[in-house]
Amino acid sequence: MEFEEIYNTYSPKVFRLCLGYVNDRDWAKDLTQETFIQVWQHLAKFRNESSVGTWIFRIASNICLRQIDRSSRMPKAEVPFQVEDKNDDTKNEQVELLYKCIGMLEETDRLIISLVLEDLPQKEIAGITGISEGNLRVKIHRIKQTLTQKFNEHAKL
Amino acid sequence: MQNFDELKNMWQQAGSGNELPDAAAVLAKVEAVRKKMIRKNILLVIMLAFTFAFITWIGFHYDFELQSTRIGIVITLVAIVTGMLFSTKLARLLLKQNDPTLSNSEYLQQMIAFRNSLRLIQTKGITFYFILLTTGLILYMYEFASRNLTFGISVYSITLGWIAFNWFYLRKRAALKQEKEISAQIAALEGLNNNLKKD
Repeated sequence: MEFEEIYNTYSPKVFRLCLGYVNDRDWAKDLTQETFIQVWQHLAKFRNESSVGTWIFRIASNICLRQIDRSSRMPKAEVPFQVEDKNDDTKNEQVELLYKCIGMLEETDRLIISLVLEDLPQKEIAGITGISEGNLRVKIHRIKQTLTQKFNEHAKL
Repeated sequence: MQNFDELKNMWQQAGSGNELPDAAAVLAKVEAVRKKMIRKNILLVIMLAFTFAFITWIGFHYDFELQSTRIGIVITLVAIVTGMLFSTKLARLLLKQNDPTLSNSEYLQQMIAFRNSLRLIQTKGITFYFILLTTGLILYMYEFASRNLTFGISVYSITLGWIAFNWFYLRKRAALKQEKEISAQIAALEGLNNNLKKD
């Protein structure tokens, strides 16, 4: 697979993961670029043990975790605006709200739920995060509930 | 009221807009990073080569009466070069680099281990630097100080006084700051790791 093809397929997904983690579009853009620089540098090491997507998500999530160097903890997002459910124009605002609600979770939970939202199988998410599938299943169930609840609470306001 | 599957749809439909650069721009950045690394390494090698040439030149060029003077010069220069290298983040290069292709849990462990080694280098390394520098200077000055007692005593007290000031005041301040930074980072990383592990 050529780098350009990989980049075009995965960069929007990586961007979403990073945006969920840092809640800042410019920062997420930098992290996406950093991820693909690392992808390029390590591409020779990729041995098809997992799908290229899983491998890229692993790099991207580690790049996110590494942001600890930049600030001691990612601030949890605040939700300063209200969202109307009826209007068609609110679609973008709803997506923004979703990102903000993800930003309210613990850092590692943000990564896990972003991978779930990307529809990655649990086995692959376990491989990316390095936690057991049993543990992961419990975690995902809890995070899904928290996220849906937070989203609905704020959407209703 | 939205359920989780609707949130998933919303997430997957959200594009990145036109915010991301194209693949060619990313590759250009890769190339720029690579070139910068090469330039940095070349500079480091040139700097080291010059220092070694200088040490050799001094050792053979001047005819000192005592061997201690020559040894003193070499030790002092070695101390200065090591100090310079460590402050230019060579320590980070010497230590095993973090591998971003590991799983999150392994990566976090590696980042913690990395910071622990860095902490060790910063504390032990700086002590080693001061011992080396002081020994080097004492040996170097001996030949000249032994010729005149008053001159000797005053030169030794000024130099050792200056080193003591650095050791007890400046080093302590810098070490405290670095220690605070690294401890905070380790604590944050351990927090992340614990969150990852808990149910």
